[in-house]
Amino acid sequence: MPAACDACLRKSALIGYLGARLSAVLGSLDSRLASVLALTEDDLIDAVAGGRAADARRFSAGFDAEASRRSLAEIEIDAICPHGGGYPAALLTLADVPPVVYLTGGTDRLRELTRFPVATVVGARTPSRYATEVAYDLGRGLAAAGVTVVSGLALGIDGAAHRGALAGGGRPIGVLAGGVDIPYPKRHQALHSRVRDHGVLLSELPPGIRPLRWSFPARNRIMAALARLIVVVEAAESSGTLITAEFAVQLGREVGAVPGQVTARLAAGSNRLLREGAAVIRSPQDALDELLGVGSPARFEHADALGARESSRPDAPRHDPTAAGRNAAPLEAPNERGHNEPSLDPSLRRVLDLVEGGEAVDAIGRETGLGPGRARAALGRLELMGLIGRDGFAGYARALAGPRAGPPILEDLIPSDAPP
Amino acid sequence: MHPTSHSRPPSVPVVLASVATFAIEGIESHEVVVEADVRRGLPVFTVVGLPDAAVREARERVRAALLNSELEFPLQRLTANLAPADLRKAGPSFDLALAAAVLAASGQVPREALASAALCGELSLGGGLRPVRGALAMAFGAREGGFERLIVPVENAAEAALVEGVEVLGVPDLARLVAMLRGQWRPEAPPPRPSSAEAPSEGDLSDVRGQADAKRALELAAAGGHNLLMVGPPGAGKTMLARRLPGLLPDPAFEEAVEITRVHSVAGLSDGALARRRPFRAPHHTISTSGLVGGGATPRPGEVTLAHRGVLFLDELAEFSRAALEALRQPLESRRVEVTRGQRAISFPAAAVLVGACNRCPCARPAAECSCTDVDRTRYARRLSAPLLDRIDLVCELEAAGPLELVSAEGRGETTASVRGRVIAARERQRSRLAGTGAFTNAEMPPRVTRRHAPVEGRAWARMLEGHAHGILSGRGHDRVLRLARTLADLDGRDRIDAADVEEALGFRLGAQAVAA
Repeated sequence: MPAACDACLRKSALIGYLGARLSAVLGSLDSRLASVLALTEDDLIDAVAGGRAADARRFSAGFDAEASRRSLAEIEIDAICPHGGGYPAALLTLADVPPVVYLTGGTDRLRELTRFPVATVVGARTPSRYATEVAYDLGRGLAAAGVTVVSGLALGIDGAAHRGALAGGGRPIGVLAGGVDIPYPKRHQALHSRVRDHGVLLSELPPGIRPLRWSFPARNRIMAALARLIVVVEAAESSGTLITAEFAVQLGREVGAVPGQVTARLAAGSNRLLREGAAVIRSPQDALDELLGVGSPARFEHADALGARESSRPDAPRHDPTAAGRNAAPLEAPNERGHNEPSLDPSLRRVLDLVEGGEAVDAIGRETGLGPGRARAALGRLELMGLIGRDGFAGYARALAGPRAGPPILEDLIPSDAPP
Repeated sequence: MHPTSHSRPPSVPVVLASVATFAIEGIESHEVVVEADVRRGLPVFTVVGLPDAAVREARERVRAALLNSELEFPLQRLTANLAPADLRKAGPSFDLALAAAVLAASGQVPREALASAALCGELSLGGGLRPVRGALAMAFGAREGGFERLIVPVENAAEAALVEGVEVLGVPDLARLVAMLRGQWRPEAPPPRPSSAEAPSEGDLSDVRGQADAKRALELAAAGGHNLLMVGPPGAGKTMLARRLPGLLPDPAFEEAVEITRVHSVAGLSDGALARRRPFRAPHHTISTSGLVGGGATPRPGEVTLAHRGVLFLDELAEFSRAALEALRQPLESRRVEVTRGQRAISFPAAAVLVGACNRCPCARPAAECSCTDVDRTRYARRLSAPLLDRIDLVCELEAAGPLELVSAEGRGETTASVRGRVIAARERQRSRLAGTGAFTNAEMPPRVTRRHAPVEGRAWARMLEGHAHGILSGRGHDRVLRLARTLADLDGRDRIDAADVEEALGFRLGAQAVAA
């Protein structure tokens, strides 16, 4: 069982101990973060502890690594450091390598998950409905293709990506800004336990430490380091999401972004990334192309990645993408969804296009010549088909889930004179 | 009480008179008997029997009015009792009955002249009569109580005369009352029931440019009595459209007009004639709960009752207090307001079509300029009170009309009269189909009735099932969609609901997310 060494545990505990002081010294978007965290213990105390330096030294001197290990074992949290086994190699590329990574789910599981291609999906905490659906779609598609999805369990895009990954049968990694035992935000308590059960929760702060101002960007650097590809789904200018992207660029990771409306403030940051050369991500397939090269297979041979028979093929090559997925079914690319609606009659097709263009019901009735009543009927029909969904009180928006696989022959089952 | 106390010692002459009048409770009237007892003793005038301040002050008005009408105010020990004593009496409408009882007890008018009559009216100090609230309700009470005549201030005569079977006598002042009771004068018959001339309109539907979707929704709301929510930015024409809804509704039938008049009479809003138009009430969003649904120490009708048989328009729905909106739920469900005061339950009618209006999001700017987040919008939607939204069958979306629509002729669309024709035809279909069910419109149909009276074609049925299969429809939503589809078929003159009706009803329904939020 790999475990962290005494010195690393002590430094990590000290960072936790000095957490509040660090908040006072570092702003939330402070570029000095990396250099401060990389300091040695003594230097760190000198740099940030201020009046409490003596206390901090006493804390550091009195630290009992063995007791710490015991209490971690009690709450089934593993602690790993670069000097022991199991430490994710990807994190060693950071300038300020976290002295200890605390995680749930076991080091074996983490090792296994990081052996697959890893993609981080991040974005706004208050995203548009469109972006939420895209994030969910990305999480699900990537997980189904065997990619390990990393995100931050935050509200909005992060949560949607995690949910999608779980729905796709994947085992996502959630990187937390506080201790792994503290569900944050509270509203994601249920998601927190689902990720804990199926995947891995990970943090550089010891258990019991609440998220701090500086620990969010610190968390972002871990998310950036863990993955080969970072997908920004929706980010406003000067947002935490852009910090993740910046870390990713510094670390030499691939950065992709999902296009948003050019007029939407919420998507201004992600659109700028695209302008500056980030990869355009329209679908899980685009992300897979970016991760593994164009025309990559849709699925890795790894039954265990879905949490099924973990021991059945322990030595099978798991993430050789070119060899693995050749005979797997290709993943449906949502950007080709239009071709899945061959039976749509032309007027419904036109209504669908107008909904997509953000037109109001009135305009739809006018443009199509259907008039108000029949325009509503067309919207009702499209909603039944699962092609559009409700947006707000009265509006409609294009649904990303694609046409619903409803009971297909329902109409044939019903006699023409059905009883009410 | 000792049994012998009833037998009067012959040495003490007692003069007793009793006169009937009515107390208003809710929109109902309760018979009240005013007894006056005049006996020798220190001159004093006492009123007992749960009178409020206004009734107690009646003593001064009665005294002055009698003296100023050159009648005699007995300088004796005068006691008036308002029975039943457990009913709270409020307001000045007891003045006339008190005066009449005093006159009868003091022998100034023959008692038998008051035997089968009821009276109500407020006195001025000069002896003139002022109109009272609730004259119509009192006339109904007089008929039910078996009175032959109802004596009211002349201004109330036309209103009270709407009730057949009671002779209504309109009296201008106390002196004429005495003359009439003595058989020396007879009032003119109250003016005949006002003819239902064309009600002055609030403006025509064609004044509103564009907004075809909202106009369609308005037509459906009018045709089936469905509650409607209009969502759109300020200036899109929500208020204009809502004001035109009463005009789309058929003229109130006589019984409905009497109900409207009765409510408005009790609230003091009646002009003394039969209401010819359906009410349109648009209370401001700062209104209190009791202002909206009714209440108070002596319960008064709220806005939802004043909108009875008409339209209740709540602009800026999200700004209303949560308590007020929640209180609306029961009236919208049962079409009545029940107010309990002490031991008494008072019921007001409240069959109004609710039209709500709100913005799409808290910032109320057009979609392109909106900077609200989903969290802001969710919070805004939550303010709308899910139980209330649950009673809304129809939702439509408005955009500010474009410049082209404002100037071009084709933006005008149909006139009120032509839409109204379809609405009346659809309502007629509903009335004959629903006869005997207690419902008059599709919106009022209870679930059991809905399923019986909304026959659905096979393909339409498949649409409903698809809706359920995809989680678009819930059990409650099912009935709402059926009711609205029923109205769509009625507007089209069809007996059976077809697939397009169901699809359109689905399209107009409130998104489940908005309700759940």
